[in-house]
Amino acid sequence: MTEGETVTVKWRKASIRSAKDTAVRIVGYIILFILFAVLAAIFYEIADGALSNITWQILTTSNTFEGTTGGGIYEAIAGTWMLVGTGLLFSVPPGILGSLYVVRAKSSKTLSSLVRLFTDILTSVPSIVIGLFGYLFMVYYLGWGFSLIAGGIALAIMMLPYIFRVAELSMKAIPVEQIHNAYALGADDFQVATRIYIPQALSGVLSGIMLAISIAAGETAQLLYTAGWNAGGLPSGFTNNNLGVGYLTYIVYNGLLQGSAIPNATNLAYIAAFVLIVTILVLVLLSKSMNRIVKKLSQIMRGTR
Amino acid sequence: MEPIIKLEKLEVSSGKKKILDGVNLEIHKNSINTVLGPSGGGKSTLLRTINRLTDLDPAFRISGTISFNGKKVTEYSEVELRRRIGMIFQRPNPFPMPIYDNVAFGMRLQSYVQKKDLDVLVEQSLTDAGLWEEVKGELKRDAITLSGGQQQRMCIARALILRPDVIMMDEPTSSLDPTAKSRIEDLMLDLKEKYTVILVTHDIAQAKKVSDYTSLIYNGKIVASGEGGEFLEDSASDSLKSFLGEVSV
Amino acid sequence: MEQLNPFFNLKNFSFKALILIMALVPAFIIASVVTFLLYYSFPSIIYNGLNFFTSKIWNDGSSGVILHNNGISYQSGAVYGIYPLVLGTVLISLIALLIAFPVSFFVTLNVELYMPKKIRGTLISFIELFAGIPSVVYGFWGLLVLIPWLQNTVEPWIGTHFSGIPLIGGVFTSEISGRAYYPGQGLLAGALILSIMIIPIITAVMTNSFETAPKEIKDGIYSLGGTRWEMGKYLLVHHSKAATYGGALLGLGRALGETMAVLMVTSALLLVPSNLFSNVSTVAAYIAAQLDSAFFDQSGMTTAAFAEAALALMGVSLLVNVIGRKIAGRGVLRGYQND
Repeated sequence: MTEGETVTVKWRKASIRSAKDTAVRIVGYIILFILFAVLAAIFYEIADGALSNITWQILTTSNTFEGTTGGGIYEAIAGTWMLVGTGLLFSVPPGILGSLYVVRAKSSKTLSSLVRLFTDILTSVPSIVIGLFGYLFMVYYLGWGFSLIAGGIALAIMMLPYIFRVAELSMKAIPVEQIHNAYALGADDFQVATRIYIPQALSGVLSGIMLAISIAAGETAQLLYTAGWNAGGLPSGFTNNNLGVGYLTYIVYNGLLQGSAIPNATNLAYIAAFVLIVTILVLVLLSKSMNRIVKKLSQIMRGTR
Repeated sequence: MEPIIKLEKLEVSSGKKKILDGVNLEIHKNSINTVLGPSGGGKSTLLRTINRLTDLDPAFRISGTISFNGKKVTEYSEVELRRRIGMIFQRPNPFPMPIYDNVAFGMRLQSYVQKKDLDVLVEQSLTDAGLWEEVKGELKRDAITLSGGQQQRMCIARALILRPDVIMMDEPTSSLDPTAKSRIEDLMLDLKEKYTVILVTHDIAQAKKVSDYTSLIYNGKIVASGEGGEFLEDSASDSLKSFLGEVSV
Repeated sequence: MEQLNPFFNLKNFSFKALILIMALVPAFIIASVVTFLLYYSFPSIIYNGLNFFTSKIWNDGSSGVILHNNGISYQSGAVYGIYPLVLGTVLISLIALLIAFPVSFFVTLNVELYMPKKIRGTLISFIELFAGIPSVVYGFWGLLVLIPWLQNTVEPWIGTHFSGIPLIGGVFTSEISGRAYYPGQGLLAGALILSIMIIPIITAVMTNSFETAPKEIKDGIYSLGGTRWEMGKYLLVHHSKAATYGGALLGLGRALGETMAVLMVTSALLLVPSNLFSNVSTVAAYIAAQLDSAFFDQSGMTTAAFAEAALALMGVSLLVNVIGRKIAGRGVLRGYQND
């Protein structure tokens, strides 16, 4: 034990330190309050503006952006789903199959980490860059025109990394013993994928897809110059859809710009924004509770067998 | 002699689970007070209730009293209480920073000590923890690069720098190899000259080696207590061994 | 062991080939986007040179008067400079970060340190909700609520009380150096909207590093007598420093590339901002606003210039995001925590 020189220590006051602690706590409460007030204000503004005008007719009538009524948002709702559906067509296969490659034990580790890196990079490409690329390449160079396929692929580029990433995570969570056992029993990669990876990771895969849909449904910048805009009916094929395809975010974007000319455009924008938010909320909730839903469903399926 | 810490009818529960059930315990000054018991018997919670780490989790319900130097622990500020009752954990927990900063951490947090004085204090507490000779030339070295035993002694130095009255050790050697373990046990014996030590362990040999006062805890209850060696050496020892062995494995 | 007979395992072989090809799709997309934008921006790179990033003027030239020079076509008098846009992008994003970072910091501390576990989860999911709102809805709300507020309340108030102070006290008249001034639609409006959008990202990274920090470290600080605030500060500022900075970079990366919300609340004008309320635009917003005008330039040079701007934006955005993700860990995916 040392008996060396003694130092007199002046302690910090506990009361001051706990006052700081309380101050930080209060600042946090205030900021949280403001944050939720803003969130509430956004929801209130949109819901209030939409609910006072929303009618079944508006949801099922074509848009005109003309005259005093401006019509409805039928094409926008249907078009959004057609675009998202096309996006799924191009993003689900590479998303799921790509993640199968990455989680497969025998895949090259270097290549797998490169695949992960590029997928991450994909999430950070600004949406307008995808839009511009889509316009130059698909609309102009390939001559597809403003079209369902150009808009759909532009969305797919955005959706792919989310589907890939969530699928990869849920496949990685499968116990390795199970996979080793399957290989030991003589199963090949295809069988392991279809019998173990996909069924076991199903809820994760679906939840990733829901997340991707919820993001794609709210995108605008990719679509402006790829899907164009069309109020005159739904696309009949994948390419050259006249002026393009309608979608909800365009109505929101254009609503106030047209507002002075067509009073109803602003109302339509409110309604479109409301429909969007509700759709996205439902999708996010579905995505979060996919685990439970799949469990319930498989219980029911097993029960009926 | 008046006990430095006194627990009376201490009951702690978390949710529906009762962790400590009517614990009465006296901690004697300048001695090693051992709480011996199987894992999951509420030993850690006992220590965490004394320095009120349990307050951090609102799920804990606590009744009964704990007094420290004649005053209820709830009457101290948490800050002062934890300064005067240091704690060492099962696994060494060095912060990812140099040895010097690790040891000085509590002092910087709690006081206005200047660099010059801090140097002295760091040296003193590292010496008290029996680590000074090994690290004096490399105080800037990252603490994570020390061996497990050295890390644990550094954590002891980190607690000592605040000049606590009591050091609580929560199975401090359970993650260490036998040599490192034996060094820490020797260190405890040194420490009790200046400090009061509360040792929580499930290791009978360790208790035999260092303990002055031993209490046996099982399922949140103190089932037996007595003075160190004799208590553990007496005829009950075999049944005690089998009892601990049975429940701890 | 692989099967010796290739025909026997043809199904599995094609499956392996298929998943390999599909795994390469992301890389293929990035390569195509870069190659194609590079190809399209080539005339602009030659024609504008470094002037592109330093010039304050963007002029498509005289419509229809097409000149040819060294195999490059452009409209007579065309000048393309994105200096104001670069400055606008950087300023809007940095101010947004300046607002969002402390907000996320205090929100994380409050939620993680002082909220009971049950409420914590709910609060974090509510903050994630912010990330789910489409940017066009933020823009719409900005136009409806934020802009009028800035225009009718904040700017007049600043104008009367702080008029002389540089960078804040702007000249809120309808004419600034011969150009129209659009009240409310300035730097601050864009930054405020963006900050709301990046708070969930930064908060997600920060709460993640709180939840993954070892309990031993937290206990260690508390047992030395640290208060909750001292523990939290240590954790975010020292222990998880990397994640904290990485989260900030991820937020910045998102802000740099954000298009619609900024487009709607700013003025899409090429102006060099002089104070917090100046009308500005960003690279992304300007491309979205003006690309259709490029269709009228038969020489294709305006389109090339937009492609070059997009390429530059993509480069910077990728750099910031990849570095951010590298140091923050891959755990966080746009308000969707995992790992």
